[in-house]
Amino acid sequence: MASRTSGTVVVHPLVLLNISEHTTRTAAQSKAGSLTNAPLVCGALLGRQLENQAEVFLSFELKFNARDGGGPAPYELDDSHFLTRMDQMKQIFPEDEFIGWYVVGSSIQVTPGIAVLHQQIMRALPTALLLVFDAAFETGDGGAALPLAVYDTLPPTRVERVKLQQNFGAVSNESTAAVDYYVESASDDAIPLEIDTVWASHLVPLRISIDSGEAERVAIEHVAHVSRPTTMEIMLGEESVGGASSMVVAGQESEQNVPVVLTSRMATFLSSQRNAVDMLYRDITVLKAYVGEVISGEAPFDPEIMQLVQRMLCNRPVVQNDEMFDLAMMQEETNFHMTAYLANITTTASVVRNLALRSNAALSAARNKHQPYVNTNREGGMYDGSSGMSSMFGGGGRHARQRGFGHFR
Amino acid sequence: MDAADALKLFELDNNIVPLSASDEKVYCYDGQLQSDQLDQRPWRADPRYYRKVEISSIALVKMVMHARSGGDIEVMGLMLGKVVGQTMVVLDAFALPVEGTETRVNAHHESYEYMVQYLEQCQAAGRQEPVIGWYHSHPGYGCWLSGIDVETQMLNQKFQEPFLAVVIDPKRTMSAGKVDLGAFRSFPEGHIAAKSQDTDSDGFQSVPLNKIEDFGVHADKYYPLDVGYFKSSLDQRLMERLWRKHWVSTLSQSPLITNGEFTTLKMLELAEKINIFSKDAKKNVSAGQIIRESDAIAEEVSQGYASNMIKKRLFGGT
Repeated sequence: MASRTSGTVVVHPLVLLNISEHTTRTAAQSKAGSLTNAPLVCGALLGRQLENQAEVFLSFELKFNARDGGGPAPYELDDSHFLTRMDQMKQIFPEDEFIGWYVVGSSIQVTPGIAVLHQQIMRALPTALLLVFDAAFETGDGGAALPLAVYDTLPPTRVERVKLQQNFGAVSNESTAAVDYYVESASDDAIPLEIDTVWASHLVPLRISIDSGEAERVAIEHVAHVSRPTTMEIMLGEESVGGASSMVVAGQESEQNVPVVLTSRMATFLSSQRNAVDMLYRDITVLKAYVGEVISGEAPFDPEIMQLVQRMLCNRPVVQNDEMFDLAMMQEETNFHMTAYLANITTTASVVRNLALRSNAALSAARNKHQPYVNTNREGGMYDGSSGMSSMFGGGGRHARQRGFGHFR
Repeated sequence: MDAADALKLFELDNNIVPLSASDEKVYCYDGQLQSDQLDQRPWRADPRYYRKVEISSIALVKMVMHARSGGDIEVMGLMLGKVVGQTMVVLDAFALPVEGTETRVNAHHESYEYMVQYLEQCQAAGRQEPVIGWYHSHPGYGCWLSGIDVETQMLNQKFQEPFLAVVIDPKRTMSAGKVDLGAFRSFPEGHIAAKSQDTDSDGFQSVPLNKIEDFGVHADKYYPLDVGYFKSSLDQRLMERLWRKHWVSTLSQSPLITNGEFTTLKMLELAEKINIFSKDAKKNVSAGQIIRESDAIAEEVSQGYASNMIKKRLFGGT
């Protein structure tokens, strides 16, 4: 049984989007035949490494040059390109360091080709992370996990050569837990090795979790829900009847073939919250089903999972009978009520003002109806109702004049 | 280990990547096609030639994150992309190491160096699109072009066409929970803007009082473009999977805390505007604007409050 992962890695969604874009671009270029470099999709990962948790914030593309003569390593990392780019990144993001690299393939296994390149990376950073992205993942409910695996490189130890060759035998589609990966590292000749052992580093899969900063979250949600998939129509700027001259104003969405749909911000916000709660509910149902099966004896008992479940149950309710918390909640509630009240007052004041203006205009025009109509647009342009009303009474004034009351003026 | 086998297992197999026909067209840069389109310089004949902008997913995420990271300081960067007919397509964006100050007409020398080097690196790594525009942030005061911005953009459009200006407001983005972004192009000097339907006399967002003069004076020197956002097929699939883990962030956000300061500022602004309005100095402030602003503030606060209540019910016990 494979050992349980000890460390976790936090991956930011921006990194995944970068990788996705790099893949799409390379595939598009390669199909169009305009690919200048080798058709590899690899890049560097930047972030921070603390104790046993690594966090990956950014990524950028790496350049590999085809090495002549083939041999075991057909591609070679372009060092100068890599160093220049690192320098540039450091200027903008001084806190992030090079912590690993990513490669895109058709599965999340570590293939021999990948291992060979990893050796090159290890020269620059012995404990580099390796992120393998599977571009061929299936959509639909079948796969729920993210199509990637992150491996941590442990310091080299003595490893039997047999084990090294074991992984490179059949790269099957079984779970990665069944296979232990080893990458041979440069051996130190001073230390004697037994026959059939080499210095190799064990690649340990890490547990992946996703986290995003505030701005990242808003942008990702936007990409997930508002962005449309590329279509030829979008790119050629062809809009059907509804879409033409509408701006993307917050709170409004306009779609092709549909007239402008006014979705209130509150509705969108609540529906996204509801989606999140839905996911929570689904997860809880799964856990409940699992616990039920363990009790009835159908499923194997897993102590780690049970521990997590129990901890979760004990943690709820998160806060109870905490004076300061209750006070803070009440303050927020009061703030909210006051703000809503103020907004209502403002709207009401405006309505009353409009009413006053109109009735004033009506009354004064009625009082002066025997006089020729005088333009009452003193109020200024922003209140449109007044001009409408005034012109109505203006018509009445003119009629009055025609009946010969004009000499009063 | 056979070298040929190693190669086969390693290189990207095109057939596995979900690539729609339009993906191919968008993400692959065709230099010849571009220069063909640009040779005729269609913007000279019609200053409003470019009507739409399409922004890719990573360009958007990078710009929003960069804008937010600046806090209260304006930040700026460049965008890479191409044109397709009357649409400008932004494919990527990168930050410039420039401090935001009031005088930004000429980018400093270090940032020119940085830019040139960065573009070289991009070309080497396989990204061939040229610079298509610049973006900068207006933290808290809305998406429009200030006087200096208009000057910069006019200069850019004289020498680097086609060029686009994008403005992002990170504070309003966080406050509203939606990306607040505007794309603009300036008119050439001396061009009189016809009063068309896109210049809304009320403005589609309210500008704080201390900037309102700047906004009004230059408002007719540029026009906004329609903004659309797109993502590739792979992006879309990835987003579906990502949502599986990402919903935690959505549920755990606390808008009241994140935006507390900004909300207070907005309310003070609004109070001032109401004062001005009631004292009869009606320039630049209208009743409709005031109502809209107060509704917006109330809505955002109630969203934050709703989020609090949801969390309390879920995790807080009775």
